[in-house]
Amino acid sequence: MPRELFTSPAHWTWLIVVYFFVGGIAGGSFFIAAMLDLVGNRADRSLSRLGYLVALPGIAIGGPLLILDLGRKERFWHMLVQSETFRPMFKWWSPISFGTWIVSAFGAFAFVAFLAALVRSGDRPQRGPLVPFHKIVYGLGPLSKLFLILGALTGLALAGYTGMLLSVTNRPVWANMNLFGINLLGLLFLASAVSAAAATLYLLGRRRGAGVEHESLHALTRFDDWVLGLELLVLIAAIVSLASFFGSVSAAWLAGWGALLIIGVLVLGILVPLVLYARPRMLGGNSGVLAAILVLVGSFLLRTVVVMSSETIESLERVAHGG
Amino acid sequence: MAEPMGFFTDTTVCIGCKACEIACKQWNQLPATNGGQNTISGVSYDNTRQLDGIHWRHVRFIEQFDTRDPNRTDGRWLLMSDVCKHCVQAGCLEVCPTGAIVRTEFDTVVIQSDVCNGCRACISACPFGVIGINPVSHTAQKCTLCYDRLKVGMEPACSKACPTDSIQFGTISQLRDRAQKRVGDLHQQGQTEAYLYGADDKIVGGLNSFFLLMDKPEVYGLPKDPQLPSRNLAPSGIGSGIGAVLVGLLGLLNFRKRRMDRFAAQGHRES
Amino acid sequence: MGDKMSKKRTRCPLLVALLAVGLIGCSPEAQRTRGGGPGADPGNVDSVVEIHRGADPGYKVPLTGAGRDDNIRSDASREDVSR
Repeated sequence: MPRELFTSPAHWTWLIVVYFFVGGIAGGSFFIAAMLDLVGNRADRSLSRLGYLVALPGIAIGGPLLILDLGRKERFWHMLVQSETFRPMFKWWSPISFGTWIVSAFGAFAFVAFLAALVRSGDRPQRGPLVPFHKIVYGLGPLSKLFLILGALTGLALAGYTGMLLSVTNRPVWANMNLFGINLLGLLFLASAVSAAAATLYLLGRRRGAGVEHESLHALTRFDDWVLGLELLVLIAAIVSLASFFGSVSAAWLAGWGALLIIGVLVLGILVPLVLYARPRMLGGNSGVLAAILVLVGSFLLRTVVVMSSETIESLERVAHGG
Repeated sequence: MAEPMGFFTDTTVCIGCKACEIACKQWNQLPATNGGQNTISGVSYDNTRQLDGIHWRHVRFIEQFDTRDPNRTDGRWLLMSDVCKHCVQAGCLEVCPTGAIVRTEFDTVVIQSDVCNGCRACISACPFGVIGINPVSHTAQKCTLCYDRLKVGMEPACSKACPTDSIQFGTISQLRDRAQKRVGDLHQQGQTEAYLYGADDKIVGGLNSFFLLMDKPEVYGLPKDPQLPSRNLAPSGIGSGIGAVLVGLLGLLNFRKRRMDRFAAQGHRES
Repeated sequence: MGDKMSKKRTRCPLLVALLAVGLIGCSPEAQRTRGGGPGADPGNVDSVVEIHRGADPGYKVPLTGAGRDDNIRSDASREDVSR
């Protein structure tokens, strides 16, 4: 029997699933926005602006969800400062520990960029409280570039560390997703988060009032198509990596979560949007909207399946074996 | 620093009386399951079921009977008082993000209940499923190897209460000698299946609570090859790193290429 | 072209860092031996190590039958019992 089946569930459930989803979108949105600002066009700013406007609310919802999940919420700061010695609390080998610092750092980047994005694109404010923030993001030349690069990397780290957090455990599914010496969970969550972020920005940017150039949206869907392709490959590899583990779990567990993963995530959440993005007129003018919504649903279901399948494995095992 | 201390649990002399469970609950004043209104497990004479935040000792009953044999002539009981293994390389301590889980001068692993914030990372990290949330403190709890008793020179409550000396407390070197002698005796008596689990340093660097077992580890609910969670740190980090590079390249190509396209089509929107 | 170059330059340290993590690949706990120091313990301890905040033998114990008012009620269970 795999060693992971001798362990206890941590009861990380819906709060964590929602955090993984929202936090991933926040990190991915910042990454896309910073990428557009770094290598894109000046005309992309109306889209990149949306990215920053999504990033801060995303982390502002996600962070508190993490605190809500604690048994002792008022002690959340114990993860940042050692409660007995008041030295900084940091373990580079513990994903929850370095994740705490990623969330905090990302919060700072997202805060600055959000305030800068409140200045309408094209405007060059002469005075007002937002001017310094606008200057940090756009007006300091190479320093602004550095800000965007570091922010983008932190955003990707936020999107990917959540998968690492699950894999650095002894729990079934999470710790089993290894292929050729690589654990695929961080990679899978990262691709899924960036793709969901692109879908979110597409839905927001498509509204008439947003003033986003058609070209920007087109690039966004093409980018999302590529990322979905990457996610598809990783997901297939992930399923293959778990194959040896399938022999020791109950058929009911496998059938239930397997069906949700293949129909909900692989087909509806990845394959269908992949086609719809590539052929935007397939279902009339709203194909892109449908594709983006499906990407979001698929991204949420992926996290649901990964987290909850591992959490529910014991109870179903017991039922299946009559013990 | 004192010498490493621990438990040697000889399962061959355990009679399943659960005195250790009671002594542990009493000394540590742990709450009862469901306010004392426990349900019957229905699949075993054991109703404690598992180790968790309010069960720091658990006598596991392994009832090896063939249910198709009405006379039950061929069956046997295996009894094992399970406990935190106080691993030399402890997965729970490794991942704990608050530093609540500490290593004591006795080489044991203890959770500080005023530091833990109930994030539950240790629960999913423990290779043995030992830790659980205590509903009173809402923090993760487990056996402390009676750190408070050790501090004042007493032995842990469970080993003190054990009527058959199935649970023995002492320094690791002392216990290891005793355990090896016991295995030798059992082998001489023809019980050649007897072996020690965790006494040497092969399992997560060694277990400071180690066991004498008569069947495969899995039969006792113990993994054959427990591992630290950090074995996945580099594999997962490399995977995420590859993802970041690939997604970065895709962003670069897609968002940049478009500029080139438009440049070719006389990008009048360039400002 | 400038931003392309800067992007490339940022990726190099990233790869180096990844390699380093791959080579080290383990926490201070992974090399620890018996009696071999704190391992991955960051030393967040006070003079008193508090281990008994979860102590309450009366937690959720229902109080029924004769003399129930004389029974000792624990603080933690009072709320649940009154329901």
